Amino acid sequence: MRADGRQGKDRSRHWIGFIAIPVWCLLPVAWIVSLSFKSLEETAAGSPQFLPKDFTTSNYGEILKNDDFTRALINSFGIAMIATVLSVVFATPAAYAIARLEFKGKRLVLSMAPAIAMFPVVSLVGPLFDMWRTFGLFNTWPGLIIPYMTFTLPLAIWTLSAFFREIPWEMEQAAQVDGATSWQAFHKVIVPLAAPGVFTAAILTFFFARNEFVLTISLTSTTSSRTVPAQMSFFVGPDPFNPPYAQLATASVIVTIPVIIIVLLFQRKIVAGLTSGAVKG
Amino acid sequence: MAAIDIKNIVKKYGDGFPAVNDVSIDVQDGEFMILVGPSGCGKSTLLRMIVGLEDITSGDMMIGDKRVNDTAPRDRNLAMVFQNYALYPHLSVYENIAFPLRLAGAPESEIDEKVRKASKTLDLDEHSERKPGNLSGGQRQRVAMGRAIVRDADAFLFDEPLSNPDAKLRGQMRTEISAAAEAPGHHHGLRHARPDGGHDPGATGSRC
Repeated sequence: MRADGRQGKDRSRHWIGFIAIPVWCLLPVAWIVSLSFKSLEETAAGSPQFLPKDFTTSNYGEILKNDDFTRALINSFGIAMIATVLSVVFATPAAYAIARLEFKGKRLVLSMAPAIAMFPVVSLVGPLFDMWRTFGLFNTWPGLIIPYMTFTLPLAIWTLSAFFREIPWEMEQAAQVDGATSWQAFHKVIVPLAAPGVFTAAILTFFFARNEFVLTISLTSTTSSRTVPAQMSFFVGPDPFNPPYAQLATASVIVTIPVIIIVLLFQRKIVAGLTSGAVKG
Repeated sequence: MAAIDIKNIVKKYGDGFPAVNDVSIDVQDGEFMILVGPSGCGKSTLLRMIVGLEDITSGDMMIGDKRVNDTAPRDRNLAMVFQNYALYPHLSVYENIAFPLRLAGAPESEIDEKVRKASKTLDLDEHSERKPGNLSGGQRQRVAMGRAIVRDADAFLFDEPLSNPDAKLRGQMRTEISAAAEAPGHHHGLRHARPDGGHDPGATGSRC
């Protein structure tokens, strides 16, 4: 009986966690979604309520007609995508070499990679601003892709090398004995096994590049290369005392939806234990 | 179909420790050969040198009449069953067994015929579409064997084929290996030199 009682109490604690954490995390999201369906008048009026009084989708139509915003969406997606693809393409062979080969400076590369990825962005902004103006990279896509890659590439190398180390080396040796060239062994055996790692690295990279704010606000000056986080800070509306909350919320929802879709799509790819069954017990 | 002639093979690791010290073994074409010895005496290292996964410090490794010391594993035309099987977890049983044939560029009809034949011999036909992760230890071992026997290799190497802890399975594998070796007409390509690592004399028979 006593054991049962204790178990019951433990379970109720679990339930508190199960409910409290999602509520804590999702309430702001729900608030933003709700805001995006409110009219400008309603957000300007005091005493807000959670659900929209008169439900309207006009914010969405309006913001998608806003060329500055759609342009920023394209910039965001394009810049993040290019940075991701380049990072993953360069990081995959690099991480493979780190996991498989012994070479001078390997430890240094491994220890420097996370250090560089965590380097404070703010300290780079000043010098980069000057350099990019000299090189003509200021306010261009490459002007953002290059500094993004200095962060995402080490991040991807670090993530991927951990994945490669998990793949039994004998997979590759078996392939060689079976008649595979090094390249065949790599792309027919190692790459499919490393796929979850590659997707993980790609997602991390993509989100870093997409969420980045300090560099994009400092190294761009027009909508030709400004990304969504920077562009949103320019949504001030005509009245400085009444920021366009509904529009901002709508923009947030629009940029969040693709992220959620991507995560859900890739989540299936990131299956733990893909290598199970490769080797004996 | 080739003899393996191991001449004064020495393997020293980076620290100078000789893992294999001046070993000479002559395995005839079609001979069934078993290496027996305590753990750490270099059986696996020797097998790995024959197959080309380990560099040879000195001595000559001859397959047929060819010195293969500097030949890549894929050009030695040997089949090997790894101690831990090393199956491809992302491929089905069928594709695991077909893998070496696909790499060799065999026509689809030939691949299908050989894979089905090997699956049948190894009692794996009903598991063709399953992935290694869903198989039992014994089934995995048979997939690893299947991957070796579908090939027209010059020699077949088994690293600890009977090290499976399951006694019943060990008996079954022993029967299968000797049946495969002693019935050469059954599937061609099996009556070749077969150096065989195994440290358990009780399991492999006390042949040396």
